[in-house]
Amino acid sequence: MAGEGEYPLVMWFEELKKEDVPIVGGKCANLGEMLRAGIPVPPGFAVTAYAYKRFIEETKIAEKIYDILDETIKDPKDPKQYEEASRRIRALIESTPIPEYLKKEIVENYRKLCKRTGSKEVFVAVRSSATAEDLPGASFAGQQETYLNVRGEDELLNSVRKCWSSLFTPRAIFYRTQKGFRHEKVLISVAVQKMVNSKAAGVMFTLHPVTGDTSKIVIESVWGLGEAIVSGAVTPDHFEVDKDSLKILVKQVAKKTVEYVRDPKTGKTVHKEVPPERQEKPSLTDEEIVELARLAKKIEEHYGTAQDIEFAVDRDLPFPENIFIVQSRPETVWSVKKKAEKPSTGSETVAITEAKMVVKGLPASPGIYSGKAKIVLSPEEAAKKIQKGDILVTKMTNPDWVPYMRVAGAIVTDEGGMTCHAAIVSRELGIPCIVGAKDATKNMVDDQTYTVDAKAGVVYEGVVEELIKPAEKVEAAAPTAVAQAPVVTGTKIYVNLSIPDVAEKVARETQADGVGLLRAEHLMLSVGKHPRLLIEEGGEQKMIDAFAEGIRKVAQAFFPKPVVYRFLDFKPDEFLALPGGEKYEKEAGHVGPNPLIGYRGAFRYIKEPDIFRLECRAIRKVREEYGLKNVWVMVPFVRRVEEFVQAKKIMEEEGLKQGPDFKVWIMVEVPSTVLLIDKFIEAGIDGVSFGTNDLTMLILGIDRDDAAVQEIYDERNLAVLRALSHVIRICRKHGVTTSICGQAPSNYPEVVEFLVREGATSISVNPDKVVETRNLVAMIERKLMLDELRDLRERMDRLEKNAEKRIFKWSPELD
Amino acid sequence: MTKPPKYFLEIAELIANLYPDAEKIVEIGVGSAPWTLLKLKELLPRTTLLAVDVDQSSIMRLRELGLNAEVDDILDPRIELYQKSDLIYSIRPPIELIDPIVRIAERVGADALIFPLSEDSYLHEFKSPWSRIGHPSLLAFILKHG
Repeated sequence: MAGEGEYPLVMWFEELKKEDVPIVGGKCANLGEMLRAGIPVPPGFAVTAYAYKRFIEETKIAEKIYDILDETIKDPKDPKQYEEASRRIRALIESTPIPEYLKKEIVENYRKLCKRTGSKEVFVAVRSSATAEDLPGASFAGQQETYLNVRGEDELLNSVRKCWSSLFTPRAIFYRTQKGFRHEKVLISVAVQKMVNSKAAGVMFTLHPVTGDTSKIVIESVWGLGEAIVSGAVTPDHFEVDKDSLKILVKQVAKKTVEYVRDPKTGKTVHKEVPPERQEKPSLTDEEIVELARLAKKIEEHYGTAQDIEFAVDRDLPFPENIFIVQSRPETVWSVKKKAEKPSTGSETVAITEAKMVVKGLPASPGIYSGKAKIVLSPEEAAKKIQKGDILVTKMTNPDWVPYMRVAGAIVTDEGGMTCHAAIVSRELGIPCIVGAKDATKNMVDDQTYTVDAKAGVVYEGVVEELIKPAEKVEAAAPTAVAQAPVVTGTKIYVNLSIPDVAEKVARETQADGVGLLRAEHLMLSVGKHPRLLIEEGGEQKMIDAFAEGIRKVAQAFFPKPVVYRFLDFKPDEFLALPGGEKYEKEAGHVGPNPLIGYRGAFRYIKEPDIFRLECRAIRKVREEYGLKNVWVMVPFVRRVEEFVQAKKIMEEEGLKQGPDFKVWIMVEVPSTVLLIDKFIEAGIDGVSFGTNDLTMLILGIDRDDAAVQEIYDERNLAVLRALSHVIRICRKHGVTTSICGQAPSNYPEVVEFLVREGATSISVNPDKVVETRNLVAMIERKLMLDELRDLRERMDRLEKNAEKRIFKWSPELD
Repeated sequence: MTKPPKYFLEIAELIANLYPDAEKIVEIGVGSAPWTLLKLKELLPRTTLLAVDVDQSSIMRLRELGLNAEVDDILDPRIELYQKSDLIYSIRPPIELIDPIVRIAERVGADALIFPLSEDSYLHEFKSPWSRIGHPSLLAFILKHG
């Protein structure tokens, strides 16, 4: 025990028992209980709820938190108010420094854990453990956050603070409000636990989670870390064990193509392909399955109630020391169900606690829907059976299914993940969809009524009113959200971004059709060194990882909409301001008299390909490791066709090959690209984006950094507009897309009108201009259509008149 | 410590010339570039200087260098940090953060000074009346509220 004052600030798991829930939360107390009961648990300690209490009280943020809740949540049914409260509170907690004595206490215990585990800096999992969490009937599981592979003191302190702030996610605030927990009574403790170097991991239930059968233990496992199961990214192996005899009854081995593992270099969790020879092998041996079942039984006996248990199997230790229980909590669905429950007829209205879960899968397109299921295994069958509003249940869809998907009220598929056809199309159509539900076509029955909860990835029998009603009420209560639904435009409206941290907010608030310009410069500034210096110091991977992480955040926030990453385009004087700049820019002779037209853009990539390759590798990592294929690239400041060709060759060597889901654009900002646009098209560009800032500078011969000539700098100059028009027309002819990411459309509505009239494919503007530009574009497009209709009518009128005249002349009776 | 790039020292000299009697100056988004503030500490010993960044680890490093530093997210700022400032400046801020910086400066009646990347050098076209500072090598725009 350690700490000061009334209660300890930190307690080791072995000191804990179930009576300690108020101070260390359910999760930590359970870990202590399990250790006492002889269950193998990875070592660690709890940062107590008292530590959190002192943090919020001594830094004087407690009152601010509760003030924010009071002033923000006026309507308990408005999810936006929860989001706003959450955003403000989390920012407040995460930006408030931890008092020194508390920091010292946490760090000292972390050092002790390092010593105990024989590691200099042990990897730990940092998990929240709310003091009202995981009690029967109130599963807060997953509502607070977990940080895996945390290493080092600073990272630990940051993760602890993030766990504290996760007490105020919108979902957690909502849940507490709904369950009637007082926010100020719910404190949070944090478990700091050694990470198991997982060979395999998974979850176990001491009853069958679908049927509620208490004679069985159900185990699901995957290769690597268990996150893959929780996220639904992988279909796990499924085992069922008889609770009495510990005999393995069911053994279903799934094809597991990906696994989450810890990258030994960075310590971060990465997504990897499982080697083919391991994909279809069971992730657990028979003896491991039996041992796990034995432990599950022991835990259930200890607590006297059904349990939902997370486990991990260490790759470095021999059996049975390799088996660890990471977490156990009361099972909350069946444990509160009445024993003598009548089976559901499938069409009745049921309460959520009574609802029978039929299948579980990956929530691919959020939403909740109740309706009749139609099990259809081919588009032909769908054509015969699907009626408007039915739940379409099938193995997997392809483009032939789209007409039936359009009329469906919800979609459930046996196979697939976040990027499968059903997931993408249903997101586009705005239909709730669950994919990878394994046995939906077997377990669901034709014409039965079900509730598809595509937020949680669960299908229930019958109409679950508690789920359906809030969804309806939220819609009714939020007319502004409906009114603000994005206006549909033929011209896509993209957004320009330079910091990944705002991507999610921008994606949500603007509903932009994608990112037309993701700038790399602030990623470089956050790395904080000249790339050549980084290479000299062996820091290539640091740059790749930092860039990949930034791009991932943006790509994920906008997925599946395109994100066009523009390669680094610092001017030499800007590189000069980075450590190492003096040597690698000035002394290397890169800084000329006018950096804006100096050593920059595509020319730089082919002169120093090793730096360019690092960016390519970051892109590849995001596309392949994270599966975010919506990232495209754009080459800036291209002067000559040869530069583009060579840059493209380097990209290809780095595994970035053009294809249907990987487009390569160039920026048109040098007059040569305007004059040679046909040649660039021949060289294989997929799209262009106008950089009007440089293009105006170079067409008009105005240094945009020179204040003396600023008054004649104008993107609306006829010469610039003619250049844009020429490029758009040639590109349209060849099916090459055209966009703009310079400032002109953000500043001048007349430029937007010009681009729409000329037929630009998209317009990319700063975040604060997206909604305004979309409305403007919609108005211009309507005007254009009306003009076209008017012209058409006039032409038809003329044709009719001419025809009448011809008939008049030709009519024999009138002759 | 890495040798300070000249650019940051020039900024410090410019600020010291423009605000020789300032009581308080705040730099937003210092990150891993403390050099302007360190130079200002020498040039303006009587001025209260404050470094602000959203990243806790950057702030810890700045404090180790003897700078007065605070974590803050300027999208949801702790406004008390900026009160009584004569100047709030930022070096190469992301374009998305320029408006939030201006809003803070407006609220506390301080001047806002931005040293943008050349790509963002169209500040004079922003809604607010920015003025460009005449300097032979620095690109800088100021918005006066004080």
